[in-house]
Amino acid sequence: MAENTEKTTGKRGVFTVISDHLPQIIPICTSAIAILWIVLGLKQYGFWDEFKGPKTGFFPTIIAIVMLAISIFALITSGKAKKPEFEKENWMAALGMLAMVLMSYVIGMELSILAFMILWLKVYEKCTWRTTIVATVIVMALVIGAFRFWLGINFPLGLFGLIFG
Amino acid sequence: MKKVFLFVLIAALMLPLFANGNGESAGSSAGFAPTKDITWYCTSKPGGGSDIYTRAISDSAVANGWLSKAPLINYKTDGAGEVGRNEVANTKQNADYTLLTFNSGDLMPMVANTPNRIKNFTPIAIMATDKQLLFINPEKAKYKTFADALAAAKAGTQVVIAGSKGDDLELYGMLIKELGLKENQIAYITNDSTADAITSGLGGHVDLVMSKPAAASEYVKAGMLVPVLALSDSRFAGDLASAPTLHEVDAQYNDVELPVWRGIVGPAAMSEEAAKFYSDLAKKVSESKEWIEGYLEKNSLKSSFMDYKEAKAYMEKYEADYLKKIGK
Amino acid sequence: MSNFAMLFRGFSVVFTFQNIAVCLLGAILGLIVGAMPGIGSLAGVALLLPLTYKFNPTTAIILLGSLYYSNMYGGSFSAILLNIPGDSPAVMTMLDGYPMAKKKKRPGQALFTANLASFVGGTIGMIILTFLGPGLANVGLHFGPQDMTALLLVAMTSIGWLVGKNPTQGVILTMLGILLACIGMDPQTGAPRYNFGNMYLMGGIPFVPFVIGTVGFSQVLRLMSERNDKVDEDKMVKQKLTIRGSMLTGHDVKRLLPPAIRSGVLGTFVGVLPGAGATTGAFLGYAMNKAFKSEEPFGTGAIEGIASCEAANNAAAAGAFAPLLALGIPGSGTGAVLLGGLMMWGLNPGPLLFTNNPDFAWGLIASLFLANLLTLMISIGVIPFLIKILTVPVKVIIPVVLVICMVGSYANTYSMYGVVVMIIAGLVSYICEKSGYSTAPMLLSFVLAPLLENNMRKAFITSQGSVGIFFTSPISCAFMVILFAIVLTPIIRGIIASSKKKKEA
Repeated sequence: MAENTEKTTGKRGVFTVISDHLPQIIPICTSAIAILWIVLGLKQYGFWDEFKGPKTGFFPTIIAIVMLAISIFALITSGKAKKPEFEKENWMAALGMLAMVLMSYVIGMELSILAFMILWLKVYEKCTWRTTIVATVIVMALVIGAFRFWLGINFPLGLFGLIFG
Repeated sequence: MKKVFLFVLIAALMLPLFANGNGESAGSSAGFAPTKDITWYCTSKPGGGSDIYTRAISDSAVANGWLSKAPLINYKTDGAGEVGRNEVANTKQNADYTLLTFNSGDLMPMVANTPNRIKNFTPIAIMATDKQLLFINPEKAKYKTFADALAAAKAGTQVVIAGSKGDDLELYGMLIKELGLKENQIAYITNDSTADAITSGLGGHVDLVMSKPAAASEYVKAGMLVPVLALSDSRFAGDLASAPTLHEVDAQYNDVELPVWRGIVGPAAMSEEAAKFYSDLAKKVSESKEWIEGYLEKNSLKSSFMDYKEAKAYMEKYEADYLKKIGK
Repeated sequence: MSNFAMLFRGFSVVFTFQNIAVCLLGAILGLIVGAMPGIGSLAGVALLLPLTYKFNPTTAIILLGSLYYSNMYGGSFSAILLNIPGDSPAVMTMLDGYPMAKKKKRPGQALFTANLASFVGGTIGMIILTFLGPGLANVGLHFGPQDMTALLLVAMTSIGWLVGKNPTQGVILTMLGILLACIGMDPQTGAPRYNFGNMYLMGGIPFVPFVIGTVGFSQVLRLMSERNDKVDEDKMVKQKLTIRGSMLTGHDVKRLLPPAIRSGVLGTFVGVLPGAGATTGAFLGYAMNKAFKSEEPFGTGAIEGIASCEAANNAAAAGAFAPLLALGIPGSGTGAVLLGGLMMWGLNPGPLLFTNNPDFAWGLIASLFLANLLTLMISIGVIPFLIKILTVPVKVIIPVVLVICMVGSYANTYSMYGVVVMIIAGLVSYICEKSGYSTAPMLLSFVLAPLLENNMRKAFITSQGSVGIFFTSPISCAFMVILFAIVLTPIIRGIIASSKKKKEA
C-alpha cells in the first residue's frame, strides 16, 4: 500500500496537468478520430458510386465531418468549460477490475472472482467477516449456479484449464 | 510425469495465446477413440443456424450411443466468427478433441478478409448442400417471369434483387457476370437474413427475392412467392419444379449455381486417426433417422455426405475457385 | 368478432393445469434471465429450447413465449436498482428509473411503475394483436427501406433532448457513437471497415458490453468516492422498504397511465416493423412522450419517463408476434429461435399457420395474456425483496457490481473481448462524464445508426442514388415533413424571439 501511494503522489503532477486540460484533450481526441475516419472513408472505402449511390465510406465520412466541426468548436470554447477533478479513490475500482480480469488468465475467472471479493471486502474495505462471507457466497452462487450451470457459460479456467482440460 | 511437467511449463509460457481457450490439454492418440470432453466451436450465437446444425449432429450422435457424452459447444462469435476460426486453426494441444462447424458461408469471408485458409484445418466431413432460387411476389411484381425481368434490365429499367449476405451476395455476382450486365442494371440489396429479404419481397419493395428452398417453402405453399429461376444446373423437385434454370430461360447463357454446404472441420494439428473417427461418426449421423427427419427434411436440404478425404478435396477446390474469382 | 371467439378458444387451450404451471415457470425464468445483465431473451430462449422437446408444441411455445415476454419486465430491475440495464431496451428505463430510486428515494414506486407500465403496454399490444393480427403484419410490410430511413431520422432528432446541459459535448458523443457503430462489416458489401486489421473489431463492437461499461462500470468508478457518506440516506430509504411503502399513490397512477397508453399503441406498431425491435420501441416511446406534458422533466426520475419506455418495449414485444405468427417473419433474433422451435415441434411457421394450426396460434396469443398477468403479480410480489438491495451499504455493492459487469460482458460475447470492450468503454465514459459530456445520447446513436445507414443504403440502391425516393413514397414523405417541422421549429422560434428582443431594445 505504502509503495502505491508513493507512486501516485510522484505522478500526481502529471495527472493534474492531464485532468486540467481534459476540456481540450477530449475534443482533440475526437477530432483525431474524425480525421482518421474521414481519411479512411474517402481513400480506402469510397464515398459515392455513380450508379449505386453511397459506398462504404459515405455515411461514416459525413458523420465524421460533423463531429470534426463540432469538436473544433468545443476546443475553441473550451476555456469556459469547468475543469474536472478526480480523486485517487475512484481509480481503485478500475484497478480492482483490472486485477480481477488479469487474474482470470492465471487462476480462472471463478477463483479470481472469489479472491477479489474476499480481498476487496476484507482487506480494502475492512468489512466484518460476516459481511464478507455473505456477499461472497451470494456472488459465487450467482456466477457458478446461474451463469455456469444453468446458462452454460464456460468461463475461462486460466492455467487450470491447461492442466485439467 | 516429466512430459506433463514440461507441458505445464510450456503452457505457462504460452499463456496469453490461450487467453480464451478452455479445455486445452495434451492428448495422444492411436486407433483413436475419445476419452475426454470434445470441444466443439460454433461461430454463431446459441439459436443461430450453425448452432442448430451443430446440435442436431451432436444430439443424434449421443442419442444413438456413438458418443458417450455430448460435446461442449463453445460459442465464438467475435469478429463475425473469424476469431473462433483462427483459434481452432492454431489449436495444437488437444487438437484431437477440437471440432468446428464450418460452412461455405464461413469460408468465403474468411479467405476474403483474413489470411486464414483451408490448409490450416483438417476437413472432416460435409453433411449437406443447398442451392438458391429467385422468387417473385405474384401480387405485386412488375415482372412475372425471369425472362421479363431480364428484358427490362437490358432495356434500361433497373431490376432489384433482395437476398441475404455471404453466399447469396456471391451468387448474385456470378449471375450478373454470366448475364453480362452491370450492377446498376440488376441491383442487389443485402439483408441480414433471408427472412428480411423475403419481407421486402412480400412488401413489394423489390422485384426478385433470392432464397434457399427451406426459407421460402411456406410462402410458396401459400402462393405468396412464386419461383421464377432455379440457380442450379437442373430444376428443383416438388412445388419448385416450375422454375427454369438460366440455360432454359435463354440458351445463350450457362446455368449459374453456387452450392452452399455445411461441414465439420478440425484444427490442422488433428491426427489422421481422429479425423477418420469423426468422419465415420458423421457418416453414421448422416444416415440416422434423427438427422434425416429432424434436420434435413425440416430444412429441405439435400444430404450429400462426403468423408474426410472427399471433403478435403472439395473444400480445397472450392477455396481455389473462390480465390481466383475474387482475384486473390 | 371472430377473432375474439378465436381468442376464447385459445384460452380454453391454455387453461389446463400443465399449461398454467409451464406459463408460471416461463414467467419466473424470464424475469431472472432478464434481470441478469448480459443475458438477453435470445440466450434464455435458445438455452431452454432443448428442454421443451418433450412437451407438446402448445405447451412448449407457452413456456418460451412467456419466458420471452417476461424478460421485458426483468430487464428493468437492475436498470432501476443498480443503473445497469439487464437488456438493451432497459437502457431507456435507466434514464428515469435510477434517479427515481436514488435521488427521489422511491425505489419501490420506480419498480412498481415499470411493472405496471409494462403490463399496460403489453395488454394494449396484445389487444391490438388479437383484433388486427394478420392485418397488422401487412402494415409492417408496407414499410420499405426509404420509409424506415425517414422514421429513423425522426427518431434520431429526439436524441437532441437527451444531450443535457452541454449540447456541444452531447452532440460530439452522439457522433462518436455512430462512428463506433460503423466499425465492423459494411452491411451492404460485407467488406470489413475501420477494423485496422484487427480480427475482433471485424465483427464490430458488441452492444451489451459497451452499455455495461458506459453505464455500469463508470457508475461504480463514480460511486467510489461517495461510498462512505451514505449513512443518513440509507436510513431514509429503509423506512419505505415494505410493500406498502412501495405502493403507487392514485396521483402516481394518473401520471403513469397517459404515457403508458400512448407508448403502448406506438410500441405495438414499432414491433411490427421489419427490423425494428423492442429497443427502438422503447426509444421512440420515450421520445414521443417527451413532447407531451409531464409533471417533472424527463431524465430526473419522472414516472412518465419510466412508464413511456417500459410500456413501449412490452408492446413492441407483443407486436412482434404479429409478423411472426401471421407471416413467419421473425422480428428479432429471439423470434428466429422461436421459429426454429416451431419447426422442431413439427409446425410450419408461415402464412398458413393461423389457418392450419389455429389452436396453436391462438393458444400462444392467449398464453401471452396469461403470462402478462402472472408476471405482473410475481414482479410486484418480489419488489420488497428487490429493494432490500438498496439497504446494502455502497461499499459492499461496489465489488458485487464490478463482478456483475465482468461476468455479464463475458457471458454476452462468450469471450474476454466483451470484458475488454466493457473496461475501455467504462473508463472513457467516466472521464468524459467528469468533463461534462453526457453519454446517454452515445448509446442511443450507437443502436440506431446501423439501422439508419443500412436502410438508407438500401433505399439508394433502389433509387440508383437519387434522393427523390424519400419524397415520392407517401409514408416516407410524411415522416420527412415531420422531420423538417421538428428541426425547423426551434430555429424559427429562435429567430422570432431574437427579432422581438431587438424590437424591444
